[in-house]
Amino acid sequence: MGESGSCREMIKTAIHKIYVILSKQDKGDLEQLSRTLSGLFSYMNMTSNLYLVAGNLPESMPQVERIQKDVIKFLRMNLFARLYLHFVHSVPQTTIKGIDYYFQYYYQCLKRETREFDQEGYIHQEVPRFMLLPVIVPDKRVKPASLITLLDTLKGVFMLPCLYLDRSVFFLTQDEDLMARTEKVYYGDDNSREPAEIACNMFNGDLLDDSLAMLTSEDRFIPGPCQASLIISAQDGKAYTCLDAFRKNESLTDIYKSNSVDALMTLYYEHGRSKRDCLGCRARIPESFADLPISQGRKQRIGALLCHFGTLYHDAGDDIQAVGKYEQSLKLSSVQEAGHINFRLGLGYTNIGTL
Amino acid sequence: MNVLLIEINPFASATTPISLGYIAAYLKSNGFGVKILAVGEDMSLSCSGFHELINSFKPALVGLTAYQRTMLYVRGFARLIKSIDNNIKIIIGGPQATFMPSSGFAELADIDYICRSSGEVTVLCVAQAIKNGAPFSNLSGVSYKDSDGAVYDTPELEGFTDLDQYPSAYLNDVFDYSRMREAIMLTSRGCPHHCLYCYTPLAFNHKITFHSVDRVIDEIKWIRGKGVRRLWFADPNISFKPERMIELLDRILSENLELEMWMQTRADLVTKELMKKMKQAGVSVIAYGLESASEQVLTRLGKHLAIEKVVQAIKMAQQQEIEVELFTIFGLPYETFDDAVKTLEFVKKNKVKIMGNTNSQQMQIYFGTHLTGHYKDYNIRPLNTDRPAYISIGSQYETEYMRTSELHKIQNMWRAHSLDGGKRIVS
Repeated sequence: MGESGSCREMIKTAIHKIYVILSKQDKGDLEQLSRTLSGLFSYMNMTSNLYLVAGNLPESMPQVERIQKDVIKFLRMNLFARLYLHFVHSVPQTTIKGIDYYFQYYYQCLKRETREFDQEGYIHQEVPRFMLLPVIVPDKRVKPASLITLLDTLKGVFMLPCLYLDRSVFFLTQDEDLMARTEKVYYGDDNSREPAEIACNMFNGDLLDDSLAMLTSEDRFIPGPCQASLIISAQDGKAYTCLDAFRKNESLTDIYKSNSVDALMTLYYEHGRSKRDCLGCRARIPESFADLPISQGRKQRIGALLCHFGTLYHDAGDDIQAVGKYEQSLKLSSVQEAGHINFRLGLGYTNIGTL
Repeated sequence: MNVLLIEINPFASATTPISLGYIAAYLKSNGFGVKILAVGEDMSLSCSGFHELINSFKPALVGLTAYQRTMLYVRGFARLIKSIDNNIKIIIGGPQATFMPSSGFAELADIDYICRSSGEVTVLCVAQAIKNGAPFSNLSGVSYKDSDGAVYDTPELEGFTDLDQYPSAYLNDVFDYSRMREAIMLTSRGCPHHCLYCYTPLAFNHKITFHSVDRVIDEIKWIRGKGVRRLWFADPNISFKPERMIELLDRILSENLELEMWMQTRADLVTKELMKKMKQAGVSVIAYGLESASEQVLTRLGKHLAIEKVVQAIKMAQQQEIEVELFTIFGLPYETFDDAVKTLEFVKKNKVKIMGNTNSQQMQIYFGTHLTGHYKDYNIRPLNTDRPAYISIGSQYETEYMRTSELHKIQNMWRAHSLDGGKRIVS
């Protein structure tokens, strides 16, 4: 009788997402960034996401083009790999003419290089392995109609447009036609348009989606680490394992000082994610979405998630945290859910002696 | 000697690769070391991770399940495997492989064999040839390529007609249960019918073969022991033998197995008594193949099913509060746009929720279907004649009555009525 079994235990976790916060760089740094990313592609999941967060596109275009070239080279050699390239940038233009200029000079240029993957997808009757997802940070003076024109044009060339909305442009969510054309909306809970803040808010949004999906699909969702990710700051070359590490400025390495991707990944597997406060990170995020212009249904699901986190804190003996989560949950949940949340809240108050 | 078996579906969560499980169990019982890699969207697998797996497990043979939509990935994995160790032999099997033309095989540079017969006996035959140091000698059930790329076909290899002769994938413990939420069962194989859009009848020579009820119950008990209570029966016609079906359900009830089950069968193979028993035993969803609600289309598909039978079968299930799913297809031969709309209206009228498997899909013309060899007879016009020979017509066609615009229109109508955005579970 031979042996048999699963392969899962033999395979190290792959990186699912890399966020690169772009900045003005000299050519030497771009070379090193490009080399690092090219090396990291081999450690990325079969289907993965690369986020390039730029301030403005004209300034970052050389970096985006260079990284796109690296991605294409990797995908050509590895037919089993799929990559979604999200490039985040402000669109300061407010008129159709100005937006059209963006399309002609930037998007078309990036799209042209990826046509071979559209053709490959068509021949194999499958979604292309390389998808471009522009994430537009609109100007607060922009008219929805102008954006709709841009989004339609992007979709027409198989680019899936997303929006990043900070508080100054929340009014855009009122436009149903615009929202219907948007692949995904990311929210910023402040007015900051700094790439680092945008990257953090996008990470938050993805992590919230992940937690909500787990809450739906798992009988007993115990929050573990987020999907394996890396955050790289192009400004100083620091690489971080997750948002918690980024916020606390606890970098793994400096990619401009260390040339070895293998060494970076060894550090990642050995140290990166073992000391993180994953429950704290996941539990902190839903609150920041409470007053965003999202649907009532989504708010209620966030309410359920907060209640779940409250229970986890209670189980861990931290009733102060638990009460905080229940209180937040109560504000977001439906009337039908209020009974059992109030019960838990009462229990929490009793335990901390405030009743 | 080790064999690695891989199933790839990057578009959905990995399910229990039951067919690979059977092959693994058969190889294992013949002394080979086997591992199964089920790659779904929820699997974390990088190029580097795969490299490590190959270097540590050191398979001499890798088998890949091939579907039309995963051919790129099959090619990609094959190329990576060969780049790691060019001595590793690669075999592909499954729906896309069985009837793939030799010209298609010739285009697949890194693939050494195509499995043409029953997977268990064929892969064992290849594994033994490799183990004996003569990988292309005394083979049956496969096509293979020599070092110059010339393709050779070998004689067909008969599988067992009594399925119990195949070692059980479950009882031989070849799966990882740590993430298994639903086990896939295969209590019978094949289909005796002649539906002209379907691959299964030809792949099994229009025969249907069975496991004994005892074997199925033993497997279910094993699975329950692993903490899994949801079962998905992949048999195309599980109630083909009504008395066997009743016996199986009775045993599930008498053994108190407490299951939640999904089953599919023909609408003319159910009765009120059977449906009642199904409900008692834990069948929560039953799926029927309707294909088209247009009488003039359905009668010409070779399915030999009256629409009235489907209506009755839906009612029987609904009376027992069993959820109904209907498999439907648009873009069928002879089907007009109005016929296609009639199918959508039928589903709505009979109060079947449009979601999951009830989301309709365009007919796919795959290798092995009657239509692949005879599409011209049905006035079907392929849209892309430049495709690689390892890719079949699939959904890239128009018919005499439905142009691309109408096919898109009916697809969008289904999506507009869908409760879940139109994602089908079984494709």
